[in-house]
Amino acid sequence: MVAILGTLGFRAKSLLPTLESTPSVDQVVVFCNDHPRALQALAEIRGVCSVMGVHIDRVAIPDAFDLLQAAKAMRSQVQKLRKGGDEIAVFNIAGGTKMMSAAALLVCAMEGLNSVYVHDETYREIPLPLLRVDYSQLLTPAQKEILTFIWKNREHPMTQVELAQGMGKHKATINHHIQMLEVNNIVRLVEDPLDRRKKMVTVDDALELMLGLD
Amino acid sequence: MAERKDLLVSTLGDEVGEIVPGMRSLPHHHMVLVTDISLDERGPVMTLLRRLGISHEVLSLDPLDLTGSAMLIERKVQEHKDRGWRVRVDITGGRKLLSDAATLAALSTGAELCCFESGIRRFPLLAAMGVREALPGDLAEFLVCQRWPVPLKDVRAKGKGDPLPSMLRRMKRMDLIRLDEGVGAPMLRLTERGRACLDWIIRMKELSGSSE
Repeated sequence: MVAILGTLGFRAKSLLPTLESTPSVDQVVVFCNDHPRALQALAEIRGVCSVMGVHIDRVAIPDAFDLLQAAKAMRSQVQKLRKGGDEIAVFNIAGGTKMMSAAALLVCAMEGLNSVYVHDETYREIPLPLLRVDYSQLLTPAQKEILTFIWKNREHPMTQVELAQGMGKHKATINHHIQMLEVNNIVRLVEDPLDRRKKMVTVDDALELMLGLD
Repeated sequence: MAERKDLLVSTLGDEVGEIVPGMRSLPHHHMVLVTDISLDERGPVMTLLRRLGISHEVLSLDPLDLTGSAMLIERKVQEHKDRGWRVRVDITGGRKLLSDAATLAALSTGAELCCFESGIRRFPLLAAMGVREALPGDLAEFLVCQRWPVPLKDVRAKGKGDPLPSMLRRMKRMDLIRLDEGVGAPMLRLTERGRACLDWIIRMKELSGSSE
């Protein structure tokens, strides 16, 4: 089946041009929250889909202002569709809140999906120049191993020495990789509140999404 | 070793409060305010920045041109990255188009993407690594220099050592081109994504040219 994905806010018009322009579309997956006006827009899309004979699914986004949760829900849906053998033609990112739209952009970059924006006034579709960014492939195996170890032990932040001990690696090796990861903003060195001489290596919750660790 | 400098790019709408959490939480030696409104020198935003002594500049964007806005932000980010600055892009403030443009620029340059709710909760930081890395320089150059579409027979006629077939294979893997076997001779055509990337590269070149 050929599917199109779309974030939806209060205006059905932000998604309809993609439904109209995508050839052989069988299914539309809409990401929206429970706001009455969003549900009203969804009903409008459902009406058009019913006339066109296109199947429609809705994925609820409980908190439309939580970028990370929205991105996780969208990525998981993309992976589910692909697993089921569906082809995703395009992801329309024009509707919904700012955070839903940004989350959709991130997912498009991570999953290598075609993405399109719809102009606010002309309702013309604008294809976006996004390519696949595979974060896990951009890291060396050693860096990925270190990040995975940090992620699994994130409840107990460690210093670089503790990391080296925990992973059974040489301290200089760990220092080298942590330095590279810090330069790229992937890890942060944070002062230990109990001992200011120590710097703990920390990562953000978003790492799970970036590395596909979930 | 010289201290590494930090740039904070913040999208801004009517609410000065939208940029405050980022200003307070993220290190910065300089701020770029990305906005589609005209900022009064005596208004709350400029007054706040002056009072706090924050070095800043304003990047005014066309609210209806997503790609053009993304390019202007990207250029600003890249200028600083080239000078060794660490860049964070806070997409909390302003209208959706500004946030989308800033997200595209952050993804394209590998700048760190940040967002905060309008209240006090801090959203997770997203460390991106860059679409720029996904489109290597040689492919970008080829995309611009090649005449499209390319007849398949021209590709088949190339010798073993010719770089064209391998370039095209790489572009096919990236979904930048597709084989069109419709009416007439088979042709390799740009996909929507390929056209969007080509448009992006050309407009970026024009932008660089206009600033020189």
